[in-house]
Amino acid sequence: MFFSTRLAPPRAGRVALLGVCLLGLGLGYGAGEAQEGGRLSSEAAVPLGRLSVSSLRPGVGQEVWVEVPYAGPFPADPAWEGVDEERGTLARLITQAPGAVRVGAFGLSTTLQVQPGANRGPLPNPKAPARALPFVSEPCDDPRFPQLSGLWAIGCDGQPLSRAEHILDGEQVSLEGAPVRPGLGGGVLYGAGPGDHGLWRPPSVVSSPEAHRVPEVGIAPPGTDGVTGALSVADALWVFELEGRLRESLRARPAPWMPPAVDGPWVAWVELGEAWLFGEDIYVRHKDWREGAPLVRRAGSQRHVAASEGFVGWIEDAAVCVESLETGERRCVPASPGPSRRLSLWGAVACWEDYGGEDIDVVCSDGLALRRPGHQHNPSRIGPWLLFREGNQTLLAQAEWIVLDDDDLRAAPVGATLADPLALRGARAEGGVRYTVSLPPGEVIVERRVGEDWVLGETIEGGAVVQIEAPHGDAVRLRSAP
Amino acid sequence: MSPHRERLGGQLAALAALALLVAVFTLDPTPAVSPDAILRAARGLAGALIWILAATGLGGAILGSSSLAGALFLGTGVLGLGLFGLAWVGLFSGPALGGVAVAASCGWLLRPKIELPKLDAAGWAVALVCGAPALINALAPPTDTDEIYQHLAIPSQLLHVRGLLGGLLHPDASRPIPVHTLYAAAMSFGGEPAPKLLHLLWAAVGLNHLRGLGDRWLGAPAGGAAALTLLGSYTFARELGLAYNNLPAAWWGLLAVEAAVAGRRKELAAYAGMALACKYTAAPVVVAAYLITWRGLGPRAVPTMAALTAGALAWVAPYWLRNASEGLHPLFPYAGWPEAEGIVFTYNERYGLGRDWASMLLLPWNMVVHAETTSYKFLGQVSPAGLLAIPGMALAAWSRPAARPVLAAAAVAFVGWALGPHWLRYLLPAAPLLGLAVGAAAVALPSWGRAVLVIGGVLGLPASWGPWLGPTAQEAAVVVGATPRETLLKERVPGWGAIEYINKYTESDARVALLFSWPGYYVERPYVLGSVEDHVPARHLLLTQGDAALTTLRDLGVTHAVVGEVRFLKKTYPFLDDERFRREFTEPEAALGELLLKEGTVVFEEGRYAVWRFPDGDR
Repeated sequence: MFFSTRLAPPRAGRVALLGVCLLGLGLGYGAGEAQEGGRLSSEAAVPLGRLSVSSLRPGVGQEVWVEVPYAGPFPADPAWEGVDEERGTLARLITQAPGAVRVGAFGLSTTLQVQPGANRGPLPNPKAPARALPFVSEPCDDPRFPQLSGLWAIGCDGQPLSRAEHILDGEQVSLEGAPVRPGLGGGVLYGAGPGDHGLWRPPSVVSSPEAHRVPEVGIAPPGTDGVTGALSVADALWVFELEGRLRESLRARPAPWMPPAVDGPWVAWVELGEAWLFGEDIYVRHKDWREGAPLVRRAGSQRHVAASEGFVGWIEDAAVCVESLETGERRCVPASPGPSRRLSLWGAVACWEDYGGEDIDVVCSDGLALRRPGHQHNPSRIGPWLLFREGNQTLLAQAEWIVLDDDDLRAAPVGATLADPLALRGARAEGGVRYTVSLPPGEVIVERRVGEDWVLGETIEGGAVVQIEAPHGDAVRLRSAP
Repeated sequence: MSPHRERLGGQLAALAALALLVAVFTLDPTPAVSPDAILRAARGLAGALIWILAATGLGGAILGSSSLAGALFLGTGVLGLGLFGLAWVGLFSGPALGGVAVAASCGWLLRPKIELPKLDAAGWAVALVCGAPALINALAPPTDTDEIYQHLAIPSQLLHVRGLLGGLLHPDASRPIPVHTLYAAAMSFGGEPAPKLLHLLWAAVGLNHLRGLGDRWLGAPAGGAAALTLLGSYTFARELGLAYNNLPAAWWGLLAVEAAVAGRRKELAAYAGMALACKYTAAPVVVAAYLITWRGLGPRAVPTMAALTAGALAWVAPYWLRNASEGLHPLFPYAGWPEAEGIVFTYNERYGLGRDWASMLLLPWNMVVHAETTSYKFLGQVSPAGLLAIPGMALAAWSRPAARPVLAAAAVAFVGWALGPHWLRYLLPAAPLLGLAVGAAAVALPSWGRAVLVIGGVLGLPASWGPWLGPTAQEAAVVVGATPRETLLKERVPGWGAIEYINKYTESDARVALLFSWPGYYVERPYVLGSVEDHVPARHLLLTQGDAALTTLRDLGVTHAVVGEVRFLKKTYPFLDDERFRREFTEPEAALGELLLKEGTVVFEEGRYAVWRFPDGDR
C-alpha cells in the first residue's frame, strides 16, 4: 500500500494531502473510530517507531504534521516499496472540515479531532524581574551549569557542583564531596562513576549511602528525574533506580556529552546510530518495552533531549519540539536555538537560548522571554521561576504570571474549539477546559480569561499536580500569591 | 669440578635465571611491567636502533674514519634530507623506508673505522641516573605541547599521506623537517616510542662526544663538567626523552665547531647546514663555527667562506625551494604569512625580562635567578653552574689559549641567542658550547673554585630536576602498564575529550579543523590548521578570510572543528598597544565565536574545548 486513495465517507473530516514522504509508507485518512487518548497500534510489517502528530485538535485550515519514524536497519529492505531514506518521515496535511479524521500508516493510526476554530498568534510575554544569586554565581567549568534541580539552584565552587540554594526560602548549603558532572532533576544531584559517585538530596549535604553505583563515569552526565537515573556509556544506555541495586542495559549508541532524560517510566536519549546518514536522532523507551524506539529519526540534528511531567522535548536545527509521551501530540515552534547546550523543560514548557536576535536571549514556549541587554544563557525553568546566566552572574527571574492556554499540551478541552475574537489567541473551547499542571510549592492565584478580561479566581496550593477548571474554555493565568 | 663442567653449569644457571625472568614477567598476574609495555618498548627500541645503525653505517662510509658521533650525525643528516626527497615525490611508504634503511646500512660493508665511546664507572652512573627518567619520558605517551602539534604530528602525517603536507593549512609541515622525516621512519618501524628513543640515543651519543671532546680540547674534567652542566639544567634534561629538534641541532652545531677547529671544512659545511636545517636557532652556533674557520685568514678567504656557506645552505635550500614551489615565502611559516601584514610569528618581547640595555647586560643573571619553567620569564631553567663559571671563563680566556676558540664560539652563540627571543629552549643549540665554556672554567679554576661550581650545580638541581622528575614519576605508572594511557592523556592533553569525540564519533571521512587547539598527533582523521606560536594559523585564517573563514574551511571539506577558547590576555602582550592587541588577538577569536554561532552546531564540549559540526558534517 502506498498513498491510500479511499474516498472519505460523508460527515468525515477531510484533509488535503500536501505531501507525504512517510518513508513511502501509506497514509490513510477517513472516518474512523477515534482511539482513546490517541493510543497507537502497530501491526505493520515494516518496523516503525511511534506516530507523532503536531496537533490532535487542529483547526480547520490548519497544517498538521504526522511523523512515523522508520525503526529498522539501513539500508531498508528493497521489498518495502517506497521506503525512502532520503526524503524523511514527515507527512503534511491541511485540514478542511471539522470532524474526526483518522490518519495512519500501515498499522499505526491516530485520530485528529478537527475543530471549527483554532488558537493563533503568540502567547503574551509576562514581565519577569530578576535577582542575582551570588551563592551560585561562581562560573562552572561546564557552561551547562548552574541549573535547577527541583527548587534548588545548584552551582559550583571551583569544579564540583557543591553549592545549592533554595530558590524560595534562600537556604544555602554546601554539599560534601560534591560531583563535578552530575545529573540534576527532581531536587537531587546524582554523580555517576568512580570519582563522581554519589546522590545528594539538598538540604542534606551528604551523599546517600544507598546511591546506585555504576562502574563508569559514562560519556555524558547522567539523567535523572530524582528517582530513576540513566547513564550513557559507549554502546549502551544504563537505566537504574537511584537508590536501587539493579541496572538495566539498553542497546543504544547514545551521543556523548548530551545527557539522557528520564521521566517516570520513560527514558529518552540522543542516538548516534545513524548519525552518519541522518545526524543525531531522538529515541525513547518505556520501562515496559524491551528496547528503545525512535521518536525522531530523520535528517537534521535532533539533540539535547529533556523530559518532564510526561513530556519530552528536544532541540532541532531551526525548532524546539515538545511531545506528550502519552498521546504523541507534538508541538514544534520555529526557533533559533543555535548552539544551545541544553534544553530546559518544565512539563510541556520548554526554555532555550535564542540566537535569533542581536544578542543571545532566553525564551520559553509559553511566552515567557528574557530579552535583556547582553547575553542570557543556560535557562532552567520551574513554574514561574527561570534561572539563567548573564555575564558572570547567576540570576533568578520570576514571571509575574504564567499563562495556560487552551491549546496547551496540558489542556483537555471538553467541547469543540470555536473562534472567539475576544478570547486569548482568538479561540476557546466550548464547554470548558481542564488544565493538569505540576506546580512548585506555594500559593497560586488563578485568573480565568472571560471575554477580554481576566477574572480573579480561587487561590490554590502548589507543590503537586493540580487540576484547574476553566468553564469558559479559555486561558488561565497563574500568579504567585503575595 | 672441571673448568668445562663449571662453565656449562654457569651457562645453565644463567639460562634458568633468564627463563625465570621471562616467567615472572609473563605469568605474574599483577606484573610490575606488563608484557605489552615490554613489547612496546622493545619494538620502539628496535625501530630507533635500525636508524641509528643505518645512519652510522652511512656516515661512516662517507667519512671513512670518524668518531661515533661524527658518523652517526653525518649519516642522520644525509638520511634526513634524503627522506625529505622521498616524501616530496610521494614515496614515503614502509617498503621505501625499508629500502633506504638497508641501503644506508650497506655503508657498514665498507668497514668504516668508527671510534666507539668509552665510559668509565662515573659515566655509567650518570647515564643511569639521568637515563632512567629520560627513558620513562621516551616510553610515555606524548603529551608535550610541541610533540603533539609538531614533532610527532608531522611524522604521523607523513606516514598517513605518504608524502608532504604544508602550506597555510599545514603550516608546521612547511618548516625544514630533516629530523621529522627520521622520526617518521622510526615510527614506521617501531611505533610511537621509536622517535623519542631515537632522540634519546642521539642525546646519549652527543653527550658522550661532548664529554670526550671537552677533555681532549680543554683537559679533564672539562668534558665531564660540560655534560653535567647540561644534565643539571631542566631545559636540557627534560628534552632528553622527547622527540624534539633542539638537541639534534646542538649536536650538529657542536660537530660543526669541532670540524672548524680541526680544519675539516667539508664536514664544517655539512654539519653547519644540517644544524641550520634542523633548527634556525642554530644560526649563532653556525656563525661561530664559520668565524673560527675564518680567523686569521682575512679578506682573501672570502671566496672560500662563500663556498663553505653555499655548501651549508645546500642542506637548507631544498626546504626553501619546496616552499617557493608552493608559492610560499621560503622561510614560511616563520615569515611570509600572505595577505596579513603584521602577523608576527614570534614576539621576541614576550620572553625574558626585557630587552633594554640593562636587561641585556643582566641577562646571564636573570636567566638563572629569575627563570621560571611555567611562565614567559625564560620559560625554562638552567643550572646556576653556568653563571658561577663566568669568572672562571674569563680566567680561562686569559690564561689558556686552547680554550679561547671554544669560549669565543660560546660567546658568539650566546649573543646570537640574546638577540632573539629569551626563551631558554632556543639556547639549546648553543648548549654544548656553553657547557664547554663551563668546562674551560672548571679547568682554569683552582680545586676549591671547582667545588663552588659543583655546589652551585648541586644546589640548582631541585629547581631543574623537580619540574622534570615530578611529571616523570606520574608517567612511570603508565609506562609499565599499571595505569591506563588514557588517564595521562586526559589529564595532560588540552582538549582530550574533544579529540576523543572526533576519533570515536565522527565518520572516517570526516575532516577536522583545529582552531586555537593543537593536539594534531592524536587526531585520527585528516585535519588542517592547528597551532604554532600564538595560534597564528587560526588567527591568519580569520584575519584574511573574515566572515568567509568557516565557509572557506567547509569548501575544503572540513566537517568538524575542534575549537579552543584561548582568552588572550593583554598582560602577556604588554609590548603591544591596545589597538593592535585587539585587532590581532581578541577580535579574531571573538569573530570565530560569532561565526560558529551562525554556521555550526556544538556537539561536544569539555572545559575550554568544543567540537563544532558544520552543516552536512557526518551526513
